Amino acid sequence: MILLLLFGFSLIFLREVPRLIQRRYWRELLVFCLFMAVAMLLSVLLTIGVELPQVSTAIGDLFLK
Amino acid sequence: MGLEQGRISATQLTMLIISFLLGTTLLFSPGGVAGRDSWIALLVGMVEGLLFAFIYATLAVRFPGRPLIQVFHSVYGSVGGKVIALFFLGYLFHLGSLVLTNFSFFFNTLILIETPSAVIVFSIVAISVYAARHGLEVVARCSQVLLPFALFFFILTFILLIKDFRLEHFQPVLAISAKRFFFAAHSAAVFPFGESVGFLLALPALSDPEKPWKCLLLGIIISTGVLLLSALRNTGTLGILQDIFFFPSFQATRQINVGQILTRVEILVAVNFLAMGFLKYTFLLYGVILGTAEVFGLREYRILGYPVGILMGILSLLNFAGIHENFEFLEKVYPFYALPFQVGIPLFTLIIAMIRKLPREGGET
Repeated sequence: MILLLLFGFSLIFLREVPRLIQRRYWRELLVFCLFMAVAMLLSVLLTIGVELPQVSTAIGDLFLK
Repeated sequence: MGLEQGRISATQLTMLIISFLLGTTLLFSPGGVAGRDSWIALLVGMVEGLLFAFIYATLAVRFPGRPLIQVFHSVYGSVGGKVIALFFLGYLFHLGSLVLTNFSFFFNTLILIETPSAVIVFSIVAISVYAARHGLEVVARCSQVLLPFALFFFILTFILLIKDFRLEHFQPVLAISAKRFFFAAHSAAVFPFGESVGFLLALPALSDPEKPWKCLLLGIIISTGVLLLSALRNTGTLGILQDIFFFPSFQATRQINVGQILTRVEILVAVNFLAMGFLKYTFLLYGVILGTAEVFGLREYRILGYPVGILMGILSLLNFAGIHENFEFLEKVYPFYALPFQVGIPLFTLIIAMIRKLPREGGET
């Protein structure tokens, strides 16, 4: 499962990164990798079954108190 | 000059606004707290929604053709502008993830019961990223294609249900407390009309920068018309029973039975939700990636399509533990939670711009 996930992410990298390097868009590359790193981290955590907090429920609790 | 080079016409923008506002509301009846009076609550909510839209249009006309993030920059300064912009984009990001959550709950409850929600969410994310990466023009053209179909299907289900209407379902009229009624009206204003705040990001791309008010007005009025018919249909066929269903539109359409031949037409509701919800999500995704690219000073926004789309999908899986919490959030929290973003930020920006007499003639801002 995790291999499939990493395969998907590497497809996205292969699609986007060469174009950015070719055009020397370093700033774009940095922001892209930053966002992708967060997305990858979260999806790997979800795949291996780590319990992540319920975001909107937490926001709701903040208001309902 | 912003990152978005494409221009859309007033008609396209109006159609996009209608699709956006119908997005998830074809399933969840706005003002549903009011029960059988939700149609009156909807009309009152529309007036409040038009007040919101007036703020957005005034702001857009004051800074014609200027991207929203640049407006924040010139009003709040460089750092303050970025902070406000990130809050605003965070709201749109969360809204997008809520749309995806609605998708997964709807399909998981009624149609694809065994399918994991990640599959439903990420198949929508994939096509939405594809559309959003091609820019606003493509999203607007999608709505030009999809909206006529959605309206046709909607009117078809309405006509087929007319014979099942019971006028006594509407009685007694307004037998709820004033507080509850106005709360319902306010929730209808916040969801969906106030969500058109996202169009602040798209208004600069309008080919005729003087017309945002006309587009917002037309969009809100037409979508209110559709939602009004939807509320009348649900109350007329289901009566007070509509409160016990998660998706009253779906249940009401289930009653359609023309001579035992034309039955199970409720899938049309699902198709409508799929088309309009797709447009709503795609527009929100487009807005978030465009805004984020402007905040970070990037030269193109397309690059953020995949990562932001995936992050929205992940957040949508983390939003709620179950569908009950989703409805509780929508009914009790959302009417207050959304206000700072839908009214606070635009109104505050407008007032400060007026006090500081921005934009200055001939100046760099």
